Amino acid sequence: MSDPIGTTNLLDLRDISLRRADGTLALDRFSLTLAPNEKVVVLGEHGSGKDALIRLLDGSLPPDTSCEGTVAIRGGTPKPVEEGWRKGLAVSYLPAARGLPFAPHVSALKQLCRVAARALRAPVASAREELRLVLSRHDDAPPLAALDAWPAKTDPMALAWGLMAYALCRTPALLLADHAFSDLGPKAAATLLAALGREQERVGFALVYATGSMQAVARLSGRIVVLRQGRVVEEGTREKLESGQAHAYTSTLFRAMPQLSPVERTVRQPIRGQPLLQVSALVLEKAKDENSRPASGLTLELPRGGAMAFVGEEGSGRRAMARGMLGLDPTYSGRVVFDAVALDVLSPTMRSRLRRRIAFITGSDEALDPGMSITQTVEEPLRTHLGISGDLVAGYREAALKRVGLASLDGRIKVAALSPFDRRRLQIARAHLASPLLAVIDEPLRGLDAFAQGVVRELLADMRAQGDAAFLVITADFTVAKALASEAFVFENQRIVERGPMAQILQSPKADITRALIAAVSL
Amino acid sequence: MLRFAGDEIVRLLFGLMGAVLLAAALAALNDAALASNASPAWPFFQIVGQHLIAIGQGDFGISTLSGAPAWVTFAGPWPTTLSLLIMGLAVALLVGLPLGLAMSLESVHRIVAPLLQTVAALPVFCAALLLAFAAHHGLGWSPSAHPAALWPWPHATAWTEAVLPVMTVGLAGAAAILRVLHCAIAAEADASWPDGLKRLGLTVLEIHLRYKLPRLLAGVIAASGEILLALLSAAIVAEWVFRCPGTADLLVKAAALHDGNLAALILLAFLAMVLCTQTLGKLIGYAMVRELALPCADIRRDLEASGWHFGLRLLGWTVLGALAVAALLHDFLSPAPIGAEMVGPMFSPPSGGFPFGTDILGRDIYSETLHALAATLSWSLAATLIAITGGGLLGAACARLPSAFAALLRWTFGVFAAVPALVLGIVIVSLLSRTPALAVGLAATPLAFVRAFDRAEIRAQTRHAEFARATGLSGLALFKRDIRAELQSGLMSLTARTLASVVILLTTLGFLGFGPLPPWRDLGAMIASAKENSLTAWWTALFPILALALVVLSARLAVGPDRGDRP
Repeated sequence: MSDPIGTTNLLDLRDISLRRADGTLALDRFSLTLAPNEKVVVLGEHGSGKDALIRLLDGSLPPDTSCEGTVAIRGGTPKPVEEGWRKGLAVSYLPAARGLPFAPHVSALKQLCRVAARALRAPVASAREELRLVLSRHDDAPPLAALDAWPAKTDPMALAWGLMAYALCRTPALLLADHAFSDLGPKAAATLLAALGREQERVGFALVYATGSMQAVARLSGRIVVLRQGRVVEEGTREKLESGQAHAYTSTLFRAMPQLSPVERTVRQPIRGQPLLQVSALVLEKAKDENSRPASGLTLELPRGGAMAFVGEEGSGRRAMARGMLGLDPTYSGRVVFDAVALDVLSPTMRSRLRRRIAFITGSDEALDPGMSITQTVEEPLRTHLGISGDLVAGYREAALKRVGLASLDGRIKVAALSPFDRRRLQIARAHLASPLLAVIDEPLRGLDAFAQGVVRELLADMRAQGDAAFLVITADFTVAKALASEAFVFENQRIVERGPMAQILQSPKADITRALIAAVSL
Repeated sequence: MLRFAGDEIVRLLFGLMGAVLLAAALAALNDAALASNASPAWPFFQIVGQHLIAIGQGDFGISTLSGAPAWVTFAGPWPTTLSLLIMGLAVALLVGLPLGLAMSLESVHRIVAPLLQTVAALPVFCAALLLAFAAHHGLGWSPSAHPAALWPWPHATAWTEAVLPVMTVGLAGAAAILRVLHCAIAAEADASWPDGLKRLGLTVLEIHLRYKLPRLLAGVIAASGEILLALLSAAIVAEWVFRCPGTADLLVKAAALHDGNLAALILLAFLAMVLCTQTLGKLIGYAMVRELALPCADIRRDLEASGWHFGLRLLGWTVLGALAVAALLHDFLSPAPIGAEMVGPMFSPPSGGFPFGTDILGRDIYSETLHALAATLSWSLAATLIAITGGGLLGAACARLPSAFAALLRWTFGVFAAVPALVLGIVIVSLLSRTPALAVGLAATPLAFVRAFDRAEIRAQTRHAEFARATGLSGLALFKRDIRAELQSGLMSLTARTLASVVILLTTLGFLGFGPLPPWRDLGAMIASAKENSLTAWWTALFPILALALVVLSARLAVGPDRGDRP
């Protein structure tokens, strides 16, 4: 006998154990009950079992994975988890847009329409109309035409909207969001999470949101399941897990929640005297068209040991400005003086030599050569720039690796085999060894889970506090900007809309985009 | 797209100009070589200039081979070769494409990849001889082909004579297509989008047909110049083995008899054909997917890690090591010295006294095979070192030079790389040096240069190279990274990989009569001398062929059966 509508569980997973081909357990006696319109956030770090759970639910487990346990759908009889167990359950899958789940040589829109048509069992034209209808329900959604480009050239936020439209167009009973908006900026993620929440209330599907970041936890008011090494550490509401009685691991994750008012640190004061970077009336080459040229170019000074942040969303022009400032891209007009040398009078070779005093720490996992080993990666700046060799190099290398927590790894491991967290720490170790005058920190937390974000944030803050380098932070996240910089420039549509001391901007933002960016991280 | 097309067309025009210059230089070199025997040579550049002017006026001179204008001598058999190439291409596409595309399915790829190594281990002339043997004994076909069987086509009475040369060229082309596809598949192996599309609800078949296959086909079309090179090399061998007098056969004769005008004209025709095909293929391939596959794709890391494939590599190194030991000790292991005649009776089949039998001169095939193995391996190793340093290392280094200078070097080497290595080897042997190691090393260098240069270029466009430049890393540091990437699979693997292709080139040259001077013989020359009697005294050819196949196969297995490389 089934329960009355509304009280029957949509899904009841019992004692699920998934064993990978190498014999390790991806999920260990995992149980989960899901009501028809419930929201569950599955929180865990890399390798915690989230991916295995989503693969189990969307039926894409690797063929060599063995599976035990039972599942009951809509209060039915529990059955062993085997091929085809999801029959009768409309499941939609929502992947991360940055994962680029599309073939690179065909328009994203065409592929999206194709997969939607397959899901709806309808012609492609009808599927396209369905996608348009879903997007039209949201004022902040882009038009469908914004997706008509190769996936790599499509705006990640537009792609995320498109994927969400695909997931929603088939009216699912269960929607599986697989780190769906984790790689987007806080404002974009907040917008999309709000839209997903609205759709969930409208349609009433159950939502399983697997994530490593805390933003979804804060934005989606639902049950939180904390996973670690395939086991449920703890589950409950955010209030319960934030309380002092939570499991130590859960507390660690919640401590990594980005906050605009963290514990105040002792910040090193900038060194007085000749500034490290002087920019006057800088206009970028691509802004030479009179219509898009700003009224006046960028003028700023970055003192030695100082720190400033370029804050803005993807495509706002912050990164292009930084590249222009550092002489990586041509500029239309203006003057840049770095370390008392005007860049415009230097030859490309001399400019390149000057850039040896600049280090980059970026959210791109491709910043390091995947074919190099840990040792080679860390040592390279010492050997090539400073000409240090032998025991000295080994000593510096070990110290730098110890500082970021990578000393225990075998130095012969290739970068390609490292996790994103380890690669990010390796970038920090390399930057630290290069003794830079300027460290460019570009979206340093992108793609990391909550625990890793906390560690990287701490490492960067330590580097800021103890090192000599000035910081130029490029981010869409005001919590990162606040933790690492004392002055902010807010970018929108290739222009600076607001600038000033960080505290002042956070206290009384003037531009709409500044307020929106601050609101996105006010969790 | 327009910029890419513009670059490619400029490169083609440069290539065609280079081809004309190369043809003029070849004719001039030949003149100089002949003149040095009779009268004092003219200033070399003056002769080149005269030839250039003559070529510009459409005058390719007189062929000493026929006494007629070179153009007329060339035009006679040209339709035969063209017909052979077209029919060979049809066979290559029929065999290579379905097999290669099926290989893109994971389960098929695991089985086909090692098989591919086995097929590629057999040089074309060995395959041709085996085909001739099988067709003669199985079907009673003649092992020679009349040109009328190929042109005008179809020739009702002699069609069987066309089958063997066409099959030889076709199978060589199919092997080239499979290599290209193997490379394209390996390049896509780590891509996550097929899994992404599958999780979004598309079937595996739909993903393959709609998205994967166009990418693979684009890779094949973009590499059509490379496939044509394989077809041309195979045509030279097929025309020689089956006594089918086409243009390729004419080139071998022209080079052997120092007919510079004719050789220059044939070289120019081949070069123009390859350069135009390369450009057209790249433009179509690029238009299909807006990107081109890597010139040499990465390896299948997942398969390389598997125990079975490690076992195959170990087997390859073991056999190669054993062959090297046998080659080192050839004087001790062989009962007869090099070239010793009448050691036993003529054409004695394998027996206790002569385990591999004897040949027409009563030479012990076992001893001769060991001596030839030693010669082949030592010269190939020397040629490999020349190709690696002069080609790979130089290519990677030149990619780091200032862009204009680097482009000029790349284009210049590109012209030489568009000549089939076999033709280049023939030209070098006939005009410059009879030393096998030097000739083969130099012939293999342009392609190695171009591949290494292109790989370095691709690496220069990666994100990590961009970050390296942004932090002021010097060209030398980036060059070190290139060398490290080139040697990612180890110097030994790189040597084994180059060795496999160099052995094939060296023995093919030896087979065509451009090998070392007597008494030394490589395995190719040994097989060539056994060719006439191979249908009856099979042992005279079989054992050297087996030894040769063993060398190439073990070298390729030592590299790893899943490398997406192209020899």
